[in-house]
Amino acid sequence: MEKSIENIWKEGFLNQESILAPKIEALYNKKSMLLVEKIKQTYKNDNQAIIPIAIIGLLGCLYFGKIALGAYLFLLLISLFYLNKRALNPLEKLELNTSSYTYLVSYKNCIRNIIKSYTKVFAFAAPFAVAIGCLIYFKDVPWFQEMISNQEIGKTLLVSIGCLLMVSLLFTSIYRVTTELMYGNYLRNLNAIISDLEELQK
Amino acid sequence: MSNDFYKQSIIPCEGIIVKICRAYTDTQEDFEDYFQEVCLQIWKSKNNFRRQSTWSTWVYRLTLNVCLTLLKKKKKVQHVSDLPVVIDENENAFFSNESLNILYAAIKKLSEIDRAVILLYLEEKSYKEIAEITGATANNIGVRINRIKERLKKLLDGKIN
Repeated sequence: MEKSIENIWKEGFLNQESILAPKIEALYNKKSMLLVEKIKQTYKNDNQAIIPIAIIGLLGCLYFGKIALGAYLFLLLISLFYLNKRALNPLEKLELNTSSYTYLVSYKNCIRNIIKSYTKVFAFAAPFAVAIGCLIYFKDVPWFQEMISNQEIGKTLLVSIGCLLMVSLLFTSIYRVTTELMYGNYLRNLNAIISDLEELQK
Repeated sequence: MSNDFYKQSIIPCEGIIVKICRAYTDTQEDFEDYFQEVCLQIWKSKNNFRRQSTWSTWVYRLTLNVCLTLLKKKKKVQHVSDLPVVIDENENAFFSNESLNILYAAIKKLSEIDRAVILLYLEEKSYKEIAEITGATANNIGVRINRIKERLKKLLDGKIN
């Protein structure tokens, strides 16, 4: 005679070993690793996107006969690519050896440091890089030559500083917005997991 | 998660959490992930428990919600009609009891909501409680249980003596 499903169920679970629950250990290990992996991957993809942009930029400039500008932009973008790669190294070295909490906090600190240094790069170095680019681009343009050759140093300096400040502001804002768009959710998840872990430790 | 909370609130419900998570997962790894996520959500949502139902009813509901959410997230949701209606008794042999493994394999062929209903029924929850947990009416639950039992009977036909 066939057993009813009710009997199969009851008999199956008579033996308590059937209800072997997994141990709640290292609850956040997997979650932490997955999140960190996502951030790493996004960062890598983001960085790798620089290469085609650099190539397209170079080809575009060559097409319009701006060889020097193309080479300059290409070098600039390739330098940015290697700078990003170097910045990623400390993140790659972090391993989940101790606890998820320590791991995530170290990770968060690394990311925070990277964001801080890039904000500085975009605020201070980028305007000068753009200025050099402009010099290369406009060097043969008559109005630019006129502006450089006339004796109104004060006016030229004022305009240059104004432009540098505007570029600095623009680049920092773009960096902040893109960082928020690309990493905002990940960083919020990272913070949420860290607060959960802090709560768990209480 | 404090040890006290785990001992007092999770361990008494561990059995049902295991049973539900088993019904919604195909691998040991998934099962462990689901189990951990459920325990974590219970701990995180403990302040939302309003004592309008018993603790175990609340845990059932939360476990089901977590499992269904995780299923959706993993995009493993398949229409039941698309699934082969053949039971493989070696499939997911989680338990030492062979008949139980076959029953679980059959339960996994049901839709997500039917799985929830039959698990609660097998745990001897009243129609009213099942209705409360699943959000259906008690009458609907009665009809649904009969239909599910019929389907399970067909799926298990001749496989268990």
